[in-house]
Amino acid sequence: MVVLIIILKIYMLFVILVMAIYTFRHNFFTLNRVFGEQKLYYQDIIDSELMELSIIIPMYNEEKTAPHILDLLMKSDYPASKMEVLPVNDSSTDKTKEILDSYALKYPIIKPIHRKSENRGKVPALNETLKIAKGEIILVFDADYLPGKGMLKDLALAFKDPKVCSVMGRVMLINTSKNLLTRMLDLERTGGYQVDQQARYNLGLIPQYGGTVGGFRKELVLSLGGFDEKILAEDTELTFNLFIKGWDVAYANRLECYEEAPEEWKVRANQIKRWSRGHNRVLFKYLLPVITTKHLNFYQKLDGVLLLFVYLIPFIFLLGILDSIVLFFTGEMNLVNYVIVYLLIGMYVTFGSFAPFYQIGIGAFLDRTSNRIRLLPFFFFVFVFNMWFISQGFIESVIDVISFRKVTWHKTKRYRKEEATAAK
Amino acid sequence: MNFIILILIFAFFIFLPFVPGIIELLAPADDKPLPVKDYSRDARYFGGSFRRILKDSFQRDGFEKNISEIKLSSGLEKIEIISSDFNSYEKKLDHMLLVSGNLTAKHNSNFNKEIYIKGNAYFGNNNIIRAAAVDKNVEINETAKIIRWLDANGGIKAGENSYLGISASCGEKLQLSNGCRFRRLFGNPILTLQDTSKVDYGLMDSERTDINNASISTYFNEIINEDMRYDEPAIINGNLIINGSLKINNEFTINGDIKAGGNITVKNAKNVNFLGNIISDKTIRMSGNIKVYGNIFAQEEIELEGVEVGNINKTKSVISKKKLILGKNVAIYGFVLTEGIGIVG
Repeated sequence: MVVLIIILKIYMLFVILVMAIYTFRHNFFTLNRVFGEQKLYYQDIIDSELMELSIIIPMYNEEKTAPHILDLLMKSDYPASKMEVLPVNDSSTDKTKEILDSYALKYPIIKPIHRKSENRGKVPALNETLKIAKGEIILVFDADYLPGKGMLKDLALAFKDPKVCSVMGRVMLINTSKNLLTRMLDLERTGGYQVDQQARYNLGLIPQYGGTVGGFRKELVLSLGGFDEKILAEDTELTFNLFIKGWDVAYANRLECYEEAPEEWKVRANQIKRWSRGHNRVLFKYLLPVITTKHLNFYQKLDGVLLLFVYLIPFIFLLGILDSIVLFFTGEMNLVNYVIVYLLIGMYVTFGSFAPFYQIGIGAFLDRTSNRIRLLPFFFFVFVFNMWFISQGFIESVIDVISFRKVTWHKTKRYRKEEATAAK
Repeated sequence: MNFIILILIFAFFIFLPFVPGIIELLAPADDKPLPVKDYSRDARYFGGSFRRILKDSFQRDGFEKNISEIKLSSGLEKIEIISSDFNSYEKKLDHMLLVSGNLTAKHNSNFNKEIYIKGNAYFGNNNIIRAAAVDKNVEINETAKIIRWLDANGGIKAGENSYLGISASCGEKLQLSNGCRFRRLFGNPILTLQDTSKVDYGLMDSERTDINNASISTYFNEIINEDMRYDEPAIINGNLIINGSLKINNEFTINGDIKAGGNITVKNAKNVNFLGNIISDKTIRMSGNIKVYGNIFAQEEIELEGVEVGNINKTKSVISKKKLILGKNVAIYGFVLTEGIGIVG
C-alpha cells in the first residue's frame, strides 16, 4: 500500500510537470505571435511559370457539398492547362457519382475516380489516386471546403522552395453561428491556426500539414511509400515523416479557407476520437525517429515530441484526476497536495485545453473579433468533453496496435442544405 | 443558514465568468464567420482598381462639368476634369484630378488626392503625389515623393532620391536612379543604372555556361546539414538544399533550386547561372555576373549587383522581408517587394 501511495504521488508530480511544460509552450507561442518576428510565406511571389497541379477531393456521399467545391475550383485563377481535379468517389451510395460525371462532361479537367474497393477511406483513396495523378504537386481538399479564387496559386507557390515538401493553409468555419459547439470550434481553430501554427512556422519548429487546404510533392510522398493505411491521421503522419527526413512544411496563415464544422456533439465526439486514434498511432510510430533523426535540431525535436504527445495528454490528465481521487480517499491528500491539484487543474484548464485560452484570446484579437472571446469560460466544458473522447481514442489506438485490427474511416456528417448548392 | 449562504455565494462566483458568454449566446454580437479574403494576386492592382472605379463612375454618372463628384470606398470625392494638358507649378490640389492630355507638374506641387492622366506625366523636384494612374509614361524627378501608389501603362523613370511609395508598377520599363526608395515594384524590366565598366556588363547568353552541353560536376539529391563553399568552377544538376550557408566565389551553374538555412553569398563571380529559385532563411548577397531564371526570396535581406532576374517572357520576383538593396546593373523582369526598406544604391 505504501508503495502504491508513493507511485500515485510520483504520478501526480509527473502530471504537474507535464502540464507546466505545455503551459510554457502555449505561452511562448502566444508571445511569439504577438511580439516575435513573423516569418514570410511565399504568397507574394509572382511567377509566370506555374507547376502542374492535381487536386484530390476524397468524397463519400458528398452530394450536398460536391457542387460547391467543384464550382469554386473552376473559378480559380490557376490556369486550367496546368491543373486537373480528381474527385474520388469512394463507393458513395447517394448521387455523388452522377454529380461528378455531370461536372466531368462540362469541364474536361475534372476527372472523377469512382472507387469500388472494399478498402474504403481517405488514406487508401489518396494512395490509389496518387498513382494516377499527373501533377507534380498534389493539393488536397475535403469536400466540405470552399477554396477561394487565388488559393491554388498561393498554395502551390510554397513549392518554389525546394525544401518545402508540404504546405498548409488556414481553416476557418463557415457555420460558426449555428450553435455553441460551432462557436467553440471556431474559437479553437482561431487559436490553433492564427497563433499556434503561425508561431511554429515563425520559430522554425514543426508546423503541421492538416490533410486539407494543403498539399505535398507527389514524387516525394510516393518515394516514402505513400500513406500508412493503418493510420487514420495521414496528415500528421506525413508531417513527421517529412520532418525526420529533413524536409519542411510551410504554413500559410493568409490562405484562409472555409470548412463546415460538426454541429452535433456526438459527431464531434466521433471526429475527435478518430483524430486521437490516428495521432496516437503516429506517436507510437514516430517518437523514436523524431528523437534520433539528424535532420532536426534540439528545439524542433522538443516541439516534435510535445506535438506527438498532444493527444495523449488528456489521458494522462484523466488518470491524474483519478489519482487525486484515490489519494483523497486514502487520506494521503494533504494540504500541499490540494494546492498542487488546484494548480494543476488551474494551469491545464486555463492554458492546456485543446486550443488554450491564451492562444484563442490573442488569435481573436489578431482577427479583430473581440466579442466572441466572451465564450472562453465555456472551454471548461469543451475541455472535459475533449479529455473524455480523446482518451477513448488513445485507448482504441493502443488496441489497434495490440490486436493488429484493421482501422476503418468514418466520414464526418455534413450539414449543408442541398438546395443551397451552387450548381443549381 | 450560513452554510446555505456560503453555497449560494460560491455558486454565484462559479457562475459569474459564464455571464458574458451566456449573453453572447442569447444575443450574439459576434457570431458571423470570420471573413475570408478572396483575391487573385495582381501586381498592378491599385492602378487597375482605380481605373475601374473611374470607368464605372463615368458610365453610371457621366462627368459633364469641370468639377464633379465620384463615389469611392472612402466616400464622395470631388474630381476635376481637364480635357487638355495640365501644367502646375507650386500648386496644391486637394481634390482628385482627371487629365485627358499630359500632365507637367514642375517644382513643389502637392497632389493630395488620386490623379488619373491619360497622356504622359512629369513630376518635378519636390512634388508630392498621393496616388497616380497614368496611361502613358511617367517621369519622376529628383526628390519627388509618391505617398501611396503609382501605376503607368507605359514606363516609369524615377529620378535620384525619389520615393516610390507603397507600390510603383508599370507595363513597360521601370528605370530606377541612385537613392530611389521603394516598397513594391513591378516592371518589365525593373532596371538600375547600367554601368559598362563593371565586370558583368555585356555578357551575352551565348557566352554563359550551357547546362545541356556542359559536363556536370555534381548531382544533388539530399539535404546537406553544413555550410558549403565553391571556390572552383562548378556545374550542378539538382536542387542544392543546405541547412547552413552557401558561398560562391567562382563560375557556377545550377540546374535546380537553391535553399539555404543560412546566408547565400555570391561575390564578384563571373558567369554565374541559376536556372531555378534561390531561397534563404537569412540574407542573399550577390554581385558579379549573374543570371537568375527563377525567383529570389529571403527572410531577411537581399543585396544585388550585376544580376539579371527572369526575362521578357518569364515574370519572376525578388522578395525580402527586412531590406532590399539594388546596386548597379540589375535587371528584374517582374516583381520586387520588401516589407522593410528598399533602396537603390
